[in-house]
Amino acid sequence: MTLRRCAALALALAAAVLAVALEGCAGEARPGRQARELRQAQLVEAGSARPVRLPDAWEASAPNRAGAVRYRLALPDAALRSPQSALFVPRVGNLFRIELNGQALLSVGAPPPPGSGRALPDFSQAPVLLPLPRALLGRSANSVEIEVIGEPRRDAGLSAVWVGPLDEIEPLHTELTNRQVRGTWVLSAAAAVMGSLALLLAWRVRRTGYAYFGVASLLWAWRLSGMQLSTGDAWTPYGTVLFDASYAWFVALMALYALDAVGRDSDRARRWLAAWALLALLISIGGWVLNAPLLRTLVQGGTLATAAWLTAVLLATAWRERTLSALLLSAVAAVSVVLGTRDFWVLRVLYDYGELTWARYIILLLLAVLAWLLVDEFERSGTALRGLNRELQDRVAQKERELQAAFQATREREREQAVLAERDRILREMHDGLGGRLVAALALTSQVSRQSAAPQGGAARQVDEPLRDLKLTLEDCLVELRLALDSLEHDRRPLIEALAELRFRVEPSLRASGVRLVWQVADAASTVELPAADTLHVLRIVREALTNVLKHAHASVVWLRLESRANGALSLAVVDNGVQQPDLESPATLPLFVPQSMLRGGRGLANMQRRAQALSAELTSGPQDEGWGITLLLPPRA
Amino acid sequence: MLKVYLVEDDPLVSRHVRDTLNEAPGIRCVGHASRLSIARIELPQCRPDVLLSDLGLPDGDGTELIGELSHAPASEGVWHPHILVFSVFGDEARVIHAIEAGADGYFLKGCTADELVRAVQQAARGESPISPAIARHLLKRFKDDGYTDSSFRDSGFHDSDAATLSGIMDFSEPKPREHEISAREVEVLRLVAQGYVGEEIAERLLTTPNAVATSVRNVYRKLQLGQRARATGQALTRPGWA
Repeated sequence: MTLRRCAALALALAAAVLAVALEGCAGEARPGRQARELRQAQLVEAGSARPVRLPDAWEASAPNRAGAVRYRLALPDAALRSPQSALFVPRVGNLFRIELNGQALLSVGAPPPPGSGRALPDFSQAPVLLPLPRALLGRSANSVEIEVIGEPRRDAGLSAVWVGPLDEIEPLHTELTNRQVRGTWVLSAAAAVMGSLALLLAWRVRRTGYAYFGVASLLWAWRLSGMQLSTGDAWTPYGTVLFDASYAWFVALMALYALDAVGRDSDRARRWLAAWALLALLISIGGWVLNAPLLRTLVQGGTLATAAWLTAVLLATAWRERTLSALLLSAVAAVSVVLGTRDFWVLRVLYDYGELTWARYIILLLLAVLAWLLVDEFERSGTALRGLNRELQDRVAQKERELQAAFQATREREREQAVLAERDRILREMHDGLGGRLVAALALTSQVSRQSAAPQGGAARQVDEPLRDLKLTLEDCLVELRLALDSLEHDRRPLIEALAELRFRVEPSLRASGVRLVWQVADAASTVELPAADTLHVLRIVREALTNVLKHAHASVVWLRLESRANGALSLAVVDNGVQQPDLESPATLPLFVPQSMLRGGRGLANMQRRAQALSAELTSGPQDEGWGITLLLPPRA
Repeated sequence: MLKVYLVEDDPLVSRHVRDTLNEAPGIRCVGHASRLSIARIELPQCRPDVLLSDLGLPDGDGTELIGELSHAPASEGVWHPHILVFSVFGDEARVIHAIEAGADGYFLKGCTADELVRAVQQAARGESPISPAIARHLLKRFKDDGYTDSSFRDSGFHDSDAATLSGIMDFSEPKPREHEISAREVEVLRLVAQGYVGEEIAERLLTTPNAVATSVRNVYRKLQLGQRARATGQALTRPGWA
């Protein structure tokens, strides 16, 4: 995913920036060849002087000191050999004046008039670089006196001091200025922008997690900007208290955000964090009121503990769920704990007045993680959206297909109904029209034969035979018509029912000719169904067989046997007790005097064979116990 | 002498049937009509024993005539003919309709003279001709209704109505419900549908051909009862033939 790769790149970039920044912090102590770091001083206070180690944070050494003290530092000759020497003080304040060998060099800030009630300005956040005028330097035993004016609770003090050639000292100053002033401004601006963005996002997408992040980020931006106040005008006790508490709040809010992001937020966690935030505020207030540095330490320690707890929770979640967000956030939390521990050690245990906090850079990582997670979520919601779209399309397509199928089915039904209606119409036409006329023609032949009946006992006349054939033919026509119409009526029907109707139709003719039909249907065979077309073939074969019996066999009994074989095949036999019919399929055996009617029978047999083939059935004819018979063997059907 | 009346619009068929019947001993065709309207006027005067009726006639369906005759209030001394429906083929739905309306059976047009005479004589004896196709349709009909369907009861068929109709019921067997078909009757219909004729069925069911014929007649009667149960109200308001 391109977006993921971009986010990974951003995260890597942030990590690199952090690494460079930390590397810069570490590189602070890089000494020049001649430059010296002065860590020993004489502290002149109330007329007495005593040695003191630098850095000297008043918070640790003299929390209640108010007013001015002087630090006297001896400048080593070795550091002053270059044409232009300089003094570099990373941090000093709140107000200070610097004298070289008793000559005032620099005075920064003026205390407010006593009784004005205004706070002391604070210039301790800007590093000082002071070129030492050559004229004022002696050959040796040069000394610098730094007068520091401070108040309790205002973080007054003096860091270690560098002295040496300007070209060696200046880079140190530039670097510190960059990091402390410019870098912090950049961090602050970034945090403010991302904080606003997160708040906007929280408002638009109604997600509390982003709100936590936004508030925390803005708080951090404010805190960072507070770290470089150079004048005292804006200073209030509230500011200090809030500044102290904001560290705890920031961690609590970020913890809320992280828990929300990994789905581990709970009312209990929220209550504990809120309680801690409130407690941190109270402790900070207490610290300010009581002027007790230990309470500030307590707030920072508690904050560190919060971060450690969060790291544990996030790591557990990451271990269990192995989600990207949990992994990233636990990594950031772990880094934060490391940086916070370092800050705690350096600033709250060692009270290194000149050191900067490293924890401020955590915001960089957090911003990168937020960016990553946002991009990730954007990409995932995009994917989900595409998935939804696809599903929607699929469902629409599915519905379309269903509609199409339903439409097809409806059309099919309509078509079937139309066919049915048409069939009924044809049936009615055939019945009332053709059927009626055939019946009428039959009636007419009866009429004719009756009217022109031969006298009793008289010889048959020439007209009798054609009349009888005409009558038979007309009856045939009726049966054929009936069979054809029946085949229109059913898709599948029991063969026995079709045979039954054939019997009903032809039996009167058989009876009239003195032939008795014996119906032998095995129960198992009575349920066998055939398609309409096959049924018609079978019926025609049977009818042909019966016609042959009627015309040529001179039989008195004809058996119709329907039985099913073990393999599912169906056996249909028409057997008569009349004269045996020669198999006309083999003309070689034909006697010379075969009458015309016998040949017709032969053609009948050929027809039967043809129909049997169409049924893929086997038709055999030959002598049987009772006389002569044909047997149709229908293969098993699915 | 058996009096037969014919309703048939085809002159050739009509002529053939009349000649055939008149030639047979003991049968006389006392009248014929090519239209329902003529038959309606002549029938009460002729009072035939057997009525042969085509179904499709120029001025209506033979079923109407059959219905009117059958629904006439039956009382002692009232004339009531045996009715045979005349059909070409493949018209089982219409034939069953006619049987419901009161016909006693049907036979095919175009059958031989002997068959025709036989059918008329059987009808006069009170027998009811049946065909495999009719049996099949009836089986389906009863099956669709359900053999023990209660719809007859619900549709207003009461014992009092049955009593009113009992005059035309020559055979009243003790049955739990007079319009419900029995298992034996179903078996008879099934065998008819499979092509067996009366004697063969009697043989298979270990009974007499007469009993088989009675079963068929009972089936017809139950069909009519079911139909009449549905149309009782109408039946009682129709003009009578007395």
